[in-house]
Amino acid sequence: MKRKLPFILTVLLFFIYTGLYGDVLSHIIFYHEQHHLFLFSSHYFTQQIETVGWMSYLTDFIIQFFYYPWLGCIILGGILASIYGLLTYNIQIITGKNDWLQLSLIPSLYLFLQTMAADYSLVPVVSCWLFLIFFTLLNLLFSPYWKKIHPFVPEWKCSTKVTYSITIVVIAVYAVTASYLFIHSYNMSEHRMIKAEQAVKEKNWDEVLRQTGKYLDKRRNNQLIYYFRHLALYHKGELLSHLFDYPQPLGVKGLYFPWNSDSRESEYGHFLYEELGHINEAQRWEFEAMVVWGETAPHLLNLARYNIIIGRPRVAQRFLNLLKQSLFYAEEAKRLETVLSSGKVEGLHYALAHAPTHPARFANVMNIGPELLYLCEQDQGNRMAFEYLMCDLLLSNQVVRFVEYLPFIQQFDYPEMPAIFEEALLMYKLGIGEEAFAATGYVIRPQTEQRFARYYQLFQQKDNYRLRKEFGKTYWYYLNFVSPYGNKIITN
Amino acid sequence: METKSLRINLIATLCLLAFGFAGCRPQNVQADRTEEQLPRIFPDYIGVTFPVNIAPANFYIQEKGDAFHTEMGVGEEILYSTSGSKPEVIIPEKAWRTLLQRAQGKEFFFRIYIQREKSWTQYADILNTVSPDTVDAFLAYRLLYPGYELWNEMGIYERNLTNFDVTPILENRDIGKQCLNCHTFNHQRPADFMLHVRGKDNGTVVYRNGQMEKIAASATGASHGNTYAAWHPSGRFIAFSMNEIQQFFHVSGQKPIEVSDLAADLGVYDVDRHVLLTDSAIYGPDAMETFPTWSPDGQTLFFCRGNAYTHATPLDSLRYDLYAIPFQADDAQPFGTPRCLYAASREGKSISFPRVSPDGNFLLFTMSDYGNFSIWHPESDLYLLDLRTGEVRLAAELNSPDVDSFHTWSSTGRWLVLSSKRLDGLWARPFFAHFDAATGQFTKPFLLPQADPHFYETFTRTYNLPEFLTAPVTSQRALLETVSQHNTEISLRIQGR
Repeated sequence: MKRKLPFILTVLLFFIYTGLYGDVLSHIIFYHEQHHLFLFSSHYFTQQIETVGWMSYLTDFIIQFFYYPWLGCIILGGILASIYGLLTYNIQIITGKNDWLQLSLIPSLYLFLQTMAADYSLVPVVSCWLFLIFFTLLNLLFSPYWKKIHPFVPEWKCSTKVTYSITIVVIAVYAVTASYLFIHSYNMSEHRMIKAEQAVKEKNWDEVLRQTGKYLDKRRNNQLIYYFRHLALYHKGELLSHLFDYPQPLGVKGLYFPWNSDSRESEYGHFLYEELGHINEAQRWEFEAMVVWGETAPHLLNLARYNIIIGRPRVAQRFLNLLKQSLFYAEEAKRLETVLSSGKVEGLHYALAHAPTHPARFANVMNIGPELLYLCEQDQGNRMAFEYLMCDLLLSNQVVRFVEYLPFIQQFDYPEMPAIFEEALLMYKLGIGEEAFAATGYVIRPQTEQRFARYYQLFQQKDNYRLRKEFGKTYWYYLNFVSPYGNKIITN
Repeated sequence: METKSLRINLIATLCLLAFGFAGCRPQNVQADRTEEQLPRIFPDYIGVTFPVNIAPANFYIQEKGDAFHTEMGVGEEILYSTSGSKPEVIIPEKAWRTLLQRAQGKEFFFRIYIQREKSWTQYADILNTVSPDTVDAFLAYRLLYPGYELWNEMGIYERNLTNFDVTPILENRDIGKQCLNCHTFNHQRPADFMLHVRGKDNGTVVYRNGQMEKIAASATGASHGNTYAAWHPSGRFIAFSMNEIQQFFHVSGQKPIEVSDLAADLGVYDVDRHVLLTDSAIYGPDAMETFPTWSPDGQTLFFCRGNAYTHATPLDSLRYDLYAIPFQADDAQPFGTPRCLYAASREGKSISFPRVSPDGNFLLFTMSDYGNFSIWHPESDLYLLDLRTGEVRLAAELNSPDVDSFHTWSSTGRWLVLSSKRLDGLWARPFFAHFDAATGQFTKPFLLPQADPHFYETFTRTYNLPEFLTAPVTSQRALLETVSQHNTEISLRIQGR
C-alpha cells in the first residue's frame, strides 16, 4: 500500500483534473487553444526563442493539442497530476522515504488553482513539469549517490496505523482546502462569457441563449453577454419578440461595441459586422485583434476569409501561408486556398460588394446606426441590418427616426407588425396626434391600445411592481424606466 | 598505431563522402531542350542592378520540376552552381562576394535548368548587373503590423545590407510596449537621430553628437504635437510638421483606411536653444503644411501644402502641392516667402514624401489621387522633379500597380530605397534601385534579400520608414535610458508677417 499510494493519488488527481477541465473548466481549454498557435517553421522557432523563450515555445507546442478539447483535458490533467507524481517520486529517490505528509501535492494543487483564470499563462505549469521530468532523469542517473545519504535521513518512527491516519488526515485537509479555494475562486461569469463566445463561433445559437440566459438570470449586466444574446436572438428569429425579455440597461451598447480602442473588446467586434455582411469593418476589427492578441488561428482564418471576399487574395494568401504551417488548421487553410481567386467564401455575405467607392464613404466607428442604415440602403433584403437598425433606434429613444425608417419593413415578410414596433408606434402617435399619425398609414391593433391603457393606469397609480411584472418586457417600460438615455423620446 | 589507423579510416570516409556528394551534384547539366523564356523566380531578381556590397540574392524557382540546377557566373565563366530537388537557390556568401567582385560594372547570369521526367530544360539566362557603387551598409526601419489604431509589439531595427544581420535599435517591449514612431536620421548619419515615443513616456528623443535628450512632444502653445521630421544638414535644426491626424475606414472597396490630416503646420526646432521657430506663412488654420524636407545646403525647406480641412470637406478632395520656403538659420527672421514648385492639385493629384537627392538636383516625391498618407493608396507612384529645370516625370521604372511610396536616398545619391506593397498590397517591403544622376534614370528595383527566399511569404510585419545608414547605431543603451527621462520643454516662436 505504501508503494501504491502515490500512484493511486496521481491517478485520482488525473481523473479529477481531467474531469474538471472537461466540464466546469472546459472554457479554459478553449480559451488557451484560441489564443495560441504553434507553427512548424524555422522562422517561427527563431522568433519565439528570441522573443518569448523556450518555455513559451514548448507551452505553445502543447497547447496546440487543445484543438481537440478532450485531448486538452487529458494533457493538462496529466501534466498537473504528474507534477505530483514526479515530485513524490523524486522525494523517494533522494531521501529513500515516502512523503507521508504529502507535501508533493501542494505544487500540483497550487498550479491547478492558478489555471482556473483564463488569462493565466500555462508557461509556469509546463516549465514546472518539464523541470521535474529533467530532474527525475537526473536523479535516476545519480540514484547510487543518493542512496549514500539515505542512512542520514531521519526515520519516520510512527506505527503504520498512525502513519496512514496522518496521511489520510493530511490528504483530507488538502482536499478540503483545495475545494474551498476552488469554489471561492471559480469565476462563473468568465465561464459563461467564454462558453457563449465558443457557441457564437460554432453558430450554436441555442447554446448562446442558454449561456447568456443563465448569466442574465443572476440579474447581472454585461455588454458582451447582451451582445452575444442579441446575435443569437436574431439568428433564432426572435430578436424583435424577445429584445426586452431582460432589461436593457446598457441601451444600444448591448447591440454592438462602439470603437473604444480597447484591446479586450477588439476580439468581439467582428462577429456582428461579419453577420451583417459589413466585411470591411469586420476585417478592421479582426486585424486590430490580431495586432493585440497575436497571430492565432481564429484571427488568421477570419482575416483570410475577409480578404478573399473583399478581393485581396494576395493578402489572404499570407495568412493562409501561416496557417498551413500549423498542425490542425492546415487543412482549413488549404480549403480556403482553393477559393482564393473566386472572391467567395462559404457562409460569408459581402453586403457592400457593389457599393460605390466614389465618393469615398467612411464607417462611423462610434455609432453603428449610420452603418445599419447604409446597409439597408445598399443591400436590400438585409434583414439583420434592418432589425438591428430598428433595435438601435428604439434602444436609443429615437422613435421619430424609427418611424422614418420603418418603411424598410416592406422588404420583409413579417406575418404581423412586431409588438415592440407597435408599442413604439403608439408612443409616436401620442406625440404627433391621431390625424398626423393616420397619414403614416400604420394601424395599431386594438389589443395594443388596450394594453397601453392598462399600462398607463398602472403608471399613474405608480404601481411599479405590477408595471414591471406585466409590462417589463415592453418598449414602454424600457422607455420610461430602463433607458440610459432618459425617459423621453429623442426627436432629433 | 591505432591512432594512425583511425586517422586513415577517417580520411578515407571523408573522401568517400566528399566523392559521394560530388557525384550527387552534376557540375554540368546537359540540356535536353532549351526554353527561350525566362524562368519565374522569387524575388524578382531579373534585370536588376545590385550594389557591389549587397548580401546574397537568394531566390527560389517558381517553375515546377523534379530537380533543379542553377549556375551563376560572368561571361563564359561559371562561378557557382548548385543542384537538388528543391527549387531554393541559397548562394554561399563567399561565392556571392566573388561574383560581385568579378561582375562589377558588368552583367552576370543565373542559368537555370529544370528536370522534368528525366529530361533537363535549360531556360533563358537571367541577366542582372552589378554596380560598382556601394550602397550604405545599413538600413533602419520600423517593424510593426500594418494595422490601424491598436498596437502591441513593434521595434526599430537596423539591417546590415551586406549580410543578413538584423539588430534592434529599440524595441517597445523594453519600454512597456509604448508606441515608437517617426525615427529620423540626419542624412544617413547614425550620430544624429530622433524618434517619438507615445505612451506614458510621451516625448521625442533627440540624439546629436553623442548627446541624448528627451524633449516635449509638442512646443508650449503649439497647435499640435511634433510629427513628421527632417534634420537640417547642420544638425542644429529639425523641421517638424505638427499634425492633427485621424483615421477613417472605407466601408467598401479594397482600400481599407484613409489617414488624413485635420490640421497641419510647420516649424523648425532649434536643438541648441529648445525653441520651435515658425512663420505665419507655414503656421495657422488657413492651410495644412506637412512632410518637411531640406535641401542639402539647408537653405530651403520643401514641404507639402493643402487646403485647410473643414467638417464639410470630403476627404477625397484634400490634395497637397509641393512648396518650398527659404530658410536662413542665423537671420532674425529665418523664413522667406513660400512658393509653389508643383501644383499637383490642379491635375487632381496630391503629393507626399518629398525627398531631395544629396546633390540637390532632384526631388523624388510620391503622388496619389488625394490625401497624403500614400502608403494606403494603391495608386500612389513615385515622380521625379528635376530641380534645375522644374521638369516632373513619372518614375515609371520604379513603380508598380500597387503602393510605391516612402523613399529615401543613400548618402551618395546613387541608391534609393522605397516602400512598396507590390508583393501583396498590404505589407510594405523595401526595394532598392540604382540612380544615374547623369540621365536621371533609376534601374528596376529589387527586393531586400533575405537568407530564406520564402521569408516574405509568412512575414506579417510591415517595413515602415526605411532609411539608409552609413554606419550602425551604437547608442541603444543610452536610448533606452533616455526614453523614461523627463521632457525638456520647448517654446514656440511665431514669426509674424
